[in-house]
Amino acid sequence: MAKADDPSRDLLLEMFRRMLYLRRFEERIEELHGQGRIIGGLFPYTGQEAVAVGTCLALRPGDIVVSPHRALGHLLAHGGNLEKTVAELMGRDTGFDHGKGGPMHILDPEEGFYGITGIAGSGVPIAGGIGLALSMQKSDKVVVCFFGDGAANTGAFHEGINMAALWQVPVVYVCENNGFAISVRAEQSTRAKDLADRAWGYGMPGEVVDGNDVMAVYQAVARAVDRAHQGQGPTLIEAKTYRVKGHDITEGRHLSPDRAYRTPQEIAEWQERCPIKRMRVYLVEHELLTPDGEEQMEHAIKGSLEEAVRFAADSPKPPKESALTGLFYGENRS
Amino acid sequence: MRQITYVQAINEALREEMRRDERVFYLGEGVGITGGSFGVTLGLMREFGESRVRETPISEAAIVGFAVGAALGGMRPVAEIGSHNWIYHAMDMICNHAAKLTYMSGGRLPMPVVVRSHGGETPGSGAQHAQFLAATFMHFPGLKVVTAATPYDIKGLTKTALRGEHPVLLLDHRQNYGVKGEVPEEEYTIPFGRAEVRRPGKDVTIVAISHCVHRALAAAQQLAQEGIEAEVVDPRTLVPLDTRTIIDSVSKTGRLVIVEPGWRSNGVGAEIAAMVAEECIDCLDAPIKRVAMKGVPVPFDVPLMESVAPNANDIAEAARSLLRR
Repeated sequence: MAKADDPSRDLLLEMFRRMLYLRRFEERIEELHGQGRIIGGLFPYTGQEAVAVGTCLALRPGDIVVSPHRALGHLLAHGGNLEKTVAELMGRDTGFDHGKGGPMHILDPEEGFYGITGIAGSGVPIAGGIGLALSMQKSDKVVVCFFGDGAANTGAFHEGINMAALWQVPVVYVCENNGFAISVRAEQSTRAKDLADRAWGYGMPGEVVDGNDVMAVYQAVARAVDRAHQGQGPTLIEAKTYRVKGHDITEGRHLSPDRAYRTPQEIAEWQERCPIKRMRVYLVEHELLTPDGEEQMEHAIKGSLEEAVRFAADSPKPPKESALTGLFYGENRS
Repeated sequence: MRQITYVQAINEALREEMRRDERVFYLGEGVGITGGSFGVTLGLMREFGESRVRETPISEAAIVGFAVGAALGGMRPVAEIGSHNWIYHAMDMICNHAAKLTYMSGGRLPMPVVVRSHGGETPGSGAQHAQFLAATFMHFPGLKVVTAATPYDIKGLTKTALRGEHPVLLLDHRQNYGVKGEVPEEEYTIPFGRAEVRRPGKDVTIVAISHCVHRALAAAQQLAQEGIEAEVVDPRTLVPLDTRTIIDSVSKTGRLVIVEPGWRSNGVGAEIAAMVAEECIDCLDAPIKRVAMKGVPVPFDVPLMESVAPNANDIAEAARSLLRR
């Protein structure tokens, strides 16, 4: 476990609490999905919490996050409104997108969150463009762009990151190498051992980090954010982690044992390296966390989740006419 | 009134809008010091600098992707894709992102991205440098599509595009680039969704797209000598489409020919024909005729190319055939 470079006790506890929040959120969402109370493409983030939390805690107010399909962990780690999140998953009018976007397209410009795409790799040039706008406006804000190991092999990644490096845009590209693109391993998709190495080919720095060590992620992203602030352009951070659950929330149900692409033992091994478990060990060793303290966190999280579920369940569905509105900004016709 | 070329008209529109709003910037391949292959951006880099007139690598997906992101970040980008044929690289960015983000956000996100591109056949262009893709983009909800035929129109429509909050495709035809026309010195814009009746007539309506407007006018002159008065309607924007003007014209003439630079199959003509048949079947005294590029990639040899491209004779013959019934 990396030694923290003087992050405060509060920050360390917040790292832990936030990862726990992400984990409990997902458990609750899975329950709701099983009950048919939410539907659609939900992509579990279990096991990857340290990447979202370590990254987002290294950002400053006003910084922007761009996410792909597996976005909810990033959204909540970035402080996204929980009630609007659950409402959007339930397709309610009070959701972020008034029920028009769904979990892959949560768009919250006021808080700087863009669940921009369900297309692997497409976020890379778009995030670059946001960064370009920021630098043209002489803003000191920074963009974080999350994407996966699968996306790293797309044309959009190549074109986008090359252009980002060329124009020195203030973007931190965080590649979450969670081991799989649906069922295809990273090793089956490229001979490159470390995706971060690709950065050097584009004339920009790349760094591999233990994606299950929240403090290591935090420090790596903080360094990259700093570089962006100094006008030194983008960085590619490859956070090596593991997707404990399936590609999507229904995978367990439809993938029969004869179609399994990995063993239960492999999953169990990675669960031993759980980022929450590891951080708990660290905090307890350093006498920063007690069982009571953790219990309080759990209690508060549970309360927030129930409130959000209640809010969403009580919210109206979007009016039928809204299906044909909002196609062009400011125009209320189809 | 002064006459300027289509290219000069685009150049003026870009220059004026870039002076008017510092958020407007231009990006594309080779758009800098040379002013582009046709001079569209002539002098712009000198006036506005390398940040606002940005040379890019050959990366069409990233060019449009960066434009989408820049729009989200509060800028007003104009992305140039050299030729319609290279737009294919950027389809995901245009159709999955620019076209859909506003809707997916519940109508909350403006998306002021303008993509300009030229297409259509020219002598020697060969198959991969000759497509006219207006029909493709007309299909996707969330995109506005402009097909201007004259310098006056391209200037006014470009300015409107750059002041709007919506994704707009400015799809030029290369053969329009040398066309000269009257353009006032004074400031003006042209709203989308207003067709122009280029030539009034009572016998047959010819809806003509982009450069086919000029071919249709030549056909109308031929027909006039035979005592046939053709009404040439130029939609100017395909999305939004001025269906009212088209319907009014067909109500008057009872006959419709649609001519476009793209292919016939699933073309702009197919959409307009279906629309007229749905809304005004009783207006029609004859079937609708479509004149378009024949269904092959464009051949290199010039006489071969001319044989597959829609020309004034084809248009005139289509019109005549409707009156022979």
